[in-house]
Amino acid sequence: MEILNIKNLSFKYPSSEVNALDSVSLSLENGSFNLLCGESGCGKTTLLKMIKRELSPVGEKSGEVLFFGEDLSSLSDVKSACEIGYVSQNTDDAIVTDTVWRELAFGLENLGLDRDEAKRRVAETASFFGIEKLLQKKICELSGGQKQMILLASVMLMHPKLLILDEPTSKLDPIAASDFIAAIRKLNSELGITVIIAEHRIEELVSMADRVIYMEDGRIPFVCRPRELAEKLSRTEKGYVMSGALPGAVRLFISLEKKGDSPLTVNEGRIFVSETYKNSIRQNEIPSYTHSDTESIRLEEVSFRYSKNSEDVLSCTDLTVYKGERFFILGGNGVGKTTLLSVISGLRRPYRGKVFVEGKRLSEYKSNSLYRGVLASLPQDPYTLFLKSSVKEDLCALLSAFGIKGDEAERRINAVCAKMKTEHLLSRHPFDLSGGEIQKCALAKVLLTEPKVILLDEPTKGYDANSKAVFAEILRELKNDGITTVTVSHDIEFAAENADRCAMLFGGEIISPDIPEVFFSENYFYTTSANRMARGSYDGVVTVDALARMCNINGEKE
Amino acid sequence: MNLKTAHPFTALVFFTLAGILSMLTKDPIFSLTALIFVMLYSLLLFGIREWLSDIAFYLPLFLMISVINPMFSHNGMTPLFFLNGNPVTLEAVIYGVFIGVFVIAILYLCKCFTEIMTGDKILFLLGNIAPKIALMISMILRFVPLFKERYKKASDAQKALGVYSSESRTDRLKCAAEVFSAVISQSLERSVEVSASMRSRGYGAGKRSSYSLFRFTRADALLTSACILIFALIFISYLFGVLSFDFYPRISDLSFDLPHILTYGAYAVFMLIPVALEIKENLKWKYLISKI
Repeated sequence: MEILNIKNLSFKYPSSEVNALDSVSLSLENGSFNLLCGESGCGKTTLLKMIKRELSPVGEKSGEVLFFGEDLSSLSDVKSACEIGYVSQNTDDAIVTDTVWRELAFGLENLGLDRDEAKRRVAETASFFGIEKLLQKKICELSGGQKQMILLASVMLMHPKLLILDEPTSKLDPIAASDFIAAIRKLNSELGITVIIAEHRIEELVSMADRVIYMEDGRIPFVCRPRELAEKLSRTEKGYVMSGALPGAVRLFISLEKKGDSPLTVNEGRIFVSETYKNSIRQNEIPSYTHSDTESIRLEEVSFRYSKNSEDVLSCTDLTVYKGERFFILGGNGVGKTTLLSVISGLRRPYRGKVFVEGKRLSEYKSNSLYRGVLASLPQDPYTLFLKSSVKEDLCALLSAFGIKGDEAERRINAVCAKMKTEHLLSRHPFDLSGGEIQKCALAKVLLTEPKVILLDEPTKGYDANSKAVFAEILRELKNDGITTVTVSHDIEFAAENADRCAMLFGGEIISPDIPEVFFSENYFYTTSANRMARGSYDGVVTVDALARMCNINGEKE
Repeated sequence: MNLKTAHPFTALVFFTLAGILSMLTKDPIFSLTALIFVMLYSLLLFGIREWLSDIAFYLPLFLMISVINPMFSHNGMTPLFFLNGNPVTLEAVIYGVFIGVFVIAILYLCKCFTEIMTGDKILFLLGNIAPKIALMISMILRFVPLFKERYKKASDAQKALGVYSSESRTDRLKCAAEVFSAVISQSLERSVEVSASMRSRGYGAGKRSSYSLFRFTRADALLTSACILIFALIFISYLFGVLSFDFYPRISDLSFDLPHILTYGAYAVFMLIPVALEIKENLKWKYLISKI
């Protein structure tokens, strides 16, 4: 049965000249799991909001949206609120009240349910999601993953038939994201809830989706089964870039220019490689890497803890990063990656050990001199760098704090923006920019201080394949300019492709810094999907490109 | 059940009545009873350590109040000695001690009140009278820590840019103000999303009900009615003038006739309620554990 039918839906925002949605037609089967993917700004969010009446933006609209054959606008308020559930990516703004149980009860109170009915729903929902222990907690004590789970539970309490999710895991770390996706899968498979989810990190989702809806420039060029995605995406240019977000097995399939049904999981990919390709040449030459002799950052037996009685976040750790290097620090959740960066940037002071930046101890940098022309940081949330109402104002304010004004300021801003390709964003309000755009502006701002070292905190979190590719290019350019970058990240695939050297932070120490080819191929669990797919066939392969090269060199089996 | 686990309404009734009773009269036996039981209760609630450190705070306060009264109040019939030509009277000294006992008892009562009546319970009670205000307070309680977190992030980001983190104090203040106002305006902009989220979960779609985790049990009903009954008894004897007591110009005599003894006894029982419940609960657990 059809749960949702969108007929020729077009939509235009009042401030825009082009249609955000351009005669979109789509039909969803009841109980299906639908993955909506496409580049940032292709209209995914607009489409999803058009399905949820309470969130529909104002603008010129034509076409119709039918929910169980009934036009969305003719649904009763209660039915519309209950039967279509919506979970957004901005968890913090979507949570209304201060404690977990009150948040869960919020929707039920709105429906005017009596106490017994409400209590039963809260009880069964809490046990379904495994959040009984959190009920009494305050929202501000929860982790990002827990908050997102509470939000999902509070939507599910209303017993929706259709669940809309707009990039629900983009702000979560990989483990919390997997838990969240597992919960969604359980909702779909055990309760038959129809799911439509937009997401950039689709590696896990692709293998569980029934259908993939691909969007491009406000249109839906095709809807297909996940296995057909490889072949269909490689036909268009934008689709090809998009494929960077696909699971390793699918990317490999595309790189090898294969046709037909693609493997989806790592295991399928591994079988595909070992059954299709010979492995007479097991190892390609490992590219040699020589770092410069000048040290950019050096940590000597640094220990840090937040308070006297807490545990060490960093314990006696050493680290050396050389000039012009792209250094990646990987590690699980809460191991202290962000803390490490704040110790290097001097925001927090270690209780033991020495930190050197550009050959000088941190304590030797008086007042602001460290932050002027030596070191700069890009925080996890780049929006926090901006305080003014336009990007340009903000950049000018920074320069005037340095005592640079007028034409000279103008010249520097233009130079930096030309480099980051952000000229067209200068007059915009920082908060109206997309994730990828704000990051480029933030980098532009950081570059105005003319740093020799840049520290980056989770720069690829929640970005689509295209933004990641652009960002990788920026990292390369910074390297060419001789700027050292230290990136902390969860994104091992990105690190494998873009790091000069990487290391892992574990137990307060930085472990085994090495080039990615060595670092990842010596790991068993904590490694890229390409490395796991190549296991048994080839050695020292960490990226999909390298794996595809190895396959091509060896050739197909007879 | 003890006051902590009781329904908020029960606890509220107890504390309100206890508050009224403690301020009803100047009878010293009354105040002394209040002080003894309230101190006992706070010993059970907070444990010996905090209790002792509280005494270290309350004792000087008590002495101060007791000393100040006879220094400034010269009423009373029985002068003890003269200070700077002013009489220090026995009545004033005793009244000072009484005020000290009275104030300390009330402070203890307030301390127990804040321990028992958590924000959650107050919000629940408010939710029954004014649901919209209760929701608003809950939203504010959510917003405050969120705002702090955002402010911290923004100010760290600015510091690491080195724009404002100079030695000059005015610079730092200027930075703080700028970050503060920026975070405020960002939060205002983001509040649009909060209202969207509220609407999408059916806010305003129908008449709201109020949900709570608390249940008014039979024990609650019993306890509440007991409190009210005892209060009524004491109040009646108060109306009959049993509790009238004066310090000036001469201290009234304490009398221990039947109405007085009954009233004092009733008050002691009233103040014993939370203590007895607490002890009962502790014993019950000990007993249960020993059985296991």
